[in-house]
Amino acid sequence: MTDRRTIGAPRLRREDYRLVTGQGRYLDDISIAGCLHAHFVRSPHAHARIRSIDIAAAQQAEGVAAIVGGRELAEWTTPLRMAPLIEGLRPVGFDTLPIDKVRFVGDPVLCIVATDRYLAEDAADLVAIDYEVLAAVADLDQAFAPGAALVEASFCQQRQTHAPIETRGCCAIWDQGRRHLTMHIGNQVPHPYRTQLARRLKLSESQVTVISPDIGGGFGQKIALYREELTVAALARELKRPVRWREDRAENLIAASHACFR
Amino acid sequence: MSALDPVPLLLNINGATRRLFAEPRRLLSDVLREDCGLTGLHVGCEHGVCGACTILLDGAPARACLMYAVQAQGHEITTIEAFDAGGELSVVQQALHEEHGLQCGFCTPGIVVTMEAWLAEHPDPTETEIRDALSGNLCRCTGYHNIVAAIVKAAARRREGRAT
Repeated sequence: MTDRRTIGAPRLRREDYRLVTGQGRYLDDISIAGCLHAHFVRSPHAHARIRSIDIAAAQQAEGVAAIVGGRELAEWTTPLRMAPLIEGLRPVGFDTLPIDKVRFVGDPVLCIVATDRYLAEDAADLVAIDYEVLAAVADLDQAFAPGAALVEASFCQQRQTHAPIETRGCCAIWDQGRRHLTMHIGNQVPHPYRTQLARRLKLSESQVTVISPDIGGGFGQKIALYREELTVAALARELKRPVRWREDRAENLIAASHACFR
Repeated sequence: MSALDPVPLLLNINGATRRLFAEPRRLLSDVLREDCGLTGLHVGCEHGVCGACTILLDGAPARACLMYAVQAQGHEITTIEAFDAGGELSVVQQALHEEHGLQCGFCTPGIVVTMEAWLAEHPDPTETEIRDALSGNLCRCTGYHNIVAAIVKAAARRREGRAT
């Protein structure tokens, strides 16, 4: 006879003891000796050309180990390309970090790596980026002008974001002797994530280990490989030092994935 | 010496005295988590909204992310790590477990700290009062119903003087 003591009966969770007593291990709870901290300098403009970037003063700031942008990342990584075989869907490409143009408020232009997060943010204040602000693709008048492209459809979806209580973050450790990357990241799909991460770092999957510890909510936001995470991983390899990143709430709201009003 | 240089700190944390050096600008939340290894409090917003970093300061709930560590000198700091004395769950912790009042657990330490202190002052709350008291702690997973049920249960058990 089938044992039905479990089926249909409420079961208490086994993981609760450590979570209610504060002994969970989320990404930022994991201490890694000698770790550098990454901070991103983000675009204040929705659409702008990057005229020039002056990092001379920031490079001299206390504790700064590296400041890199789109040009460095283009050498170390491959760009994102999404081209699902769906009729009418155009392929999408994204540089790891912007090289000459920013495309949304919060677009990560530079990554500053320093011995602690406070110092990385101090150095960010010393960076000068000259933007040529560009117009939006079209404004309402242009969109309704005679001859403008006309698309008719009727569906609606509110603008939304996932807002997990734990913001995004990761810690990348590069073992130069083994040529192996260990990525600590609270992620919902560690296996496909490893495939993406390896490919875009030009590594084989066997050279990458993804460790997903306790995760403070994801709701779909912690699935894709983000450009910030790829940048942190590439920097760990280049600097041969562990590098970690934990975004703040403002960054999560402006730069993590969301669904636009449709 | 600049205003950014570390200064000696004497903190009273969970009944023990702790000496360390920290820059005056370092948040109490960062000093507790990174310098003291007390990672039970979590940083969800860094501007006092989410409540995940809640500690007790002289027995009253406070946001560790809204204070500098230097400001906490001379006060009694209590963190989530002090709430399961001898390995036994507190009344609120046990009730959250039984009522499935948590999922990811990131906000939970802040809720435990807030509610243990609040129930000590409000032993016989209505559900409406519980919801009001909970409004300073954001939870993105549960939808709050099971947290409220847990606090109702915890309040009843406290009144009866039992833990489970």
